[in-house]
Amino acid sequence: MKDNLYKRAIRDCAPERHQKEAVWERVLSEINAEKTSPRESENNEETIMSEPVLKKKHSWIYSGRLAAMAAAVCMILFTTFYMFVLKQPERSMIPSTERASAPGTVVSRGVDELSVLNRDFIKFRLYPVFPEDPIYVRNALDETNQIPNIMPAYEFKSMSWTTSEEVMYRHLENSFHRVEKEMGLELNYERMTRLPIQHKSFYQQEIENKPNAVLSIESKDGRMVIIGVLMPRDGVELLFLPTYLKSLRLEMPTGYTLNPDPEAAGTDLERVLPVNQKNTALLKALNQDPVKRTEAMEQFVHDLQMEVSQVASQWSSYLPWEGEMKNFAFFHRGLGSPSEYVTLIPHLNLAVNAGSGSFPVIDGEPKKANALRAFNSGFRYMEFLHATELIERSDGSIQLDYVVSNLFLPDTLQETYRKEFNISQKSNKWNTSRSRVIGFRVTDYAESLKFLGNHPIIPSDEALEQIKGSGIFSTKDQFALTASSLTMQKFEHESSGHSYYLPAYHFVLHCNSEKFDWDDSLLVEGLEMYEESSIPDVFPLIRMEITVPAVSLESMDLPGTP
Amino acid sequence: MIRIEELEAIYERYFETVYCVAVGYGMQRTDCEDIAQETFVRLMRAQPEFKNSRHEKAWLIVTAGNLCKNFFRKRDLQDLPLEDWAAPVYPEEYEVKHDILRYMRSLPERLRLPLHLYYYEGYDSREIAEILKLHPASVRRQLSQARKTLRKKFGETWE
Repeated sequence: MKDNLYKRAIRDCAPERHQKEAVWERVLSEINAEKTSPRESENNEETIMSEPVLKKKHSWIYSGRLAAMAAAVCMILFTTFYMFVLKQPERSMIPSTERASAPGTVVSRGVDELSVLNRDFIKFRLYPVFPEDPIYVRNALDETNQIPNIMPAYEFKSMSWTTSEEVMYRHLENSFHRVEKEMGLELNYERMTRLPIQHKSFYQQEIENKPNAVLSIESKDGRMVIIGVLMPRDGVELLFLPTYLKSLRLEMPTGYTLNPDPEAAGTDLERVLPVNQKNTALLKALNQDPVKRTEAMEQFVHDLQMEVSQVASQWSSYLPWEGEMKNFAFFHRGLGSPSEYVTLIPHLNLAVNAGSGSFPVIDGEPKKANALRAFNSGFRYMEFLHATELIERSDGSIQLDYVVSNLFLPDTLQETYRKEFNISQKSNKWNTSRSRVIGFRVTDYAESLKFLGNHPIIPSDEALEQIKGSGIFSTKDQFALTASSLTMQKFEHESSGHSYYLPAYHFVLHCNSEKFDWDDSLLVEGLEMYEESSIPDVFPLIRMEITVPAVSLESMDLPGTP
Repeated sequence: MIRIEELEAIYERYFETVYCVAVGYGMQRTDCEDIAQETFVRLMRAQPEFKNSRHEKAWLIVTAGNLCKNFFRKRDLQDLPLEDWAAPVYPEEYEVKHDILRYMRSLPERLRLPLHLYYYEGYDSREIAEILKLHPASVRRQLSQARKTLRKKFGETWE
């Protein structure tokens, strides 16, 4: 055998004499310990029994076991009989349509979490996603179900979210018009334009994973929430946002009516969605009469929720911390692919966030090993990873919020901030209506920090107070510096290769798109403002992200713009 | 029934073999010792009847290999205390002297034992197949895959 690198390496690590002796001692002691264990004693006893006694004993044990097994089988048979034969007729006497129409119907699904399921408040629509390029959509609709590898023509990465949100909506709206014309589809673009998606990331997601449809829930007041996307991978895969459903299930007010839109049942939808097992039933139902459609949708919701519940419970057991899964919304396969989604539940003032902090699901099942790998790759509880989200409030305003801090400061305090930082409401539209950047909710923040308790840098209470007080800076209404998220960052010691984690704040310097005229000196000013603050003293490891509007709305040459 | 004296003789003969299986899995010294210990304890517990010394060696190798796999699996799945989550899985004082052994960790598990048996124990693919209860073609494929990966990583120095 050739003496290669591997062999040499193993030989170098061969055990030494003293190791051999030490291990032998351990083997002996282990064996001796087993010999004296009760189980072993019993076995020894058995071996010295005379043959007939032994047989008798075995015979007795055997018959006892047999009886126990028989009893168990009888029980299972009886239970099955009771459940499926005796109970079934009683349940089936209620027509399913009738059950569906009763508001607030309590449906026992056998799963506690699903015990209260108000099925009457939602309607489903399936929308094609990203029709910003008609060619893209047309090809997506191709019967081959092959999603072409056409990238969006515009790069959104460098744009600030405040601007690109508008761009995104306009972009989508224009695209929808074009798609309608070209494809003859009737798309509800008006609602689509309010698609509550963190657009920049959504585009990234689209580029990387090419989802071809979203599944959304629309409430009666016209608000729509994405609850899942259909991914053209390994057939079509339905990914969903379990937290949303959970919140919805528990907190959604009653009084909504199930109103599946007959117009949405066009056969075109069938072509929009590549058919597979998961959506076949739904698609089929969309082309059937309203009653059957309702039933199918209910079934779909039920299946989805069952699936969600199962996955959620699986995940709960994998999480390295106690407590239920919060803000844990979107699963994606593989590490490293940005899939930042945010789902808004406006009437609940709740942002459900998802993204690179989510742990991957591999082979359809979350694995703790993957979670561990994710963790060691720098991923952390999502609350640490994502902070700034858009919240659309019931009054129509958009609010910037933290996932960590879902608390909004009251307007009076907003006013205090404005005065303190000399921000005039009129001149700073961005800072008032678009993003009211607020401090932290201390309780949640403290809870979050428990997680960091054992890490090398532990923020003191005093430091926390400083952070809390310095969450926002603004000068000349051009900047807002936001302490936006707490992350754990992985660092590697160069010489030893030892990796470790340190908490780091992720600050975002927001630029006012209304007032902002970008040049380097302003950036410098912003950075100086940051450096002068107490933040760097508190957290030595800072990752700073500067978001600036790369293109103004007016100058943006949108495809399809009249 | 294996007696202690017999076990000692087997231990003398195969301790290094068993230990090196664990080394080949990229384990550090103390873990290798644990694997070796557990392998011989299992031997005593199972009291298998060996057809010949070749069978005996194969049994020990496979058992050690399985224990190594379990080790990694448990390590990945165990509930680490919170503070350990942030610590590196394999600490700085990791004692494997060679990059290649460290790299073995990144190889898929199924490739590690065939590679070890081929390059260290000197078995051919047919024998490995017999030991691991695989098809010889599978073993050859696995070996080829492992070689390819290692060549990519270590280049000329691999051979």
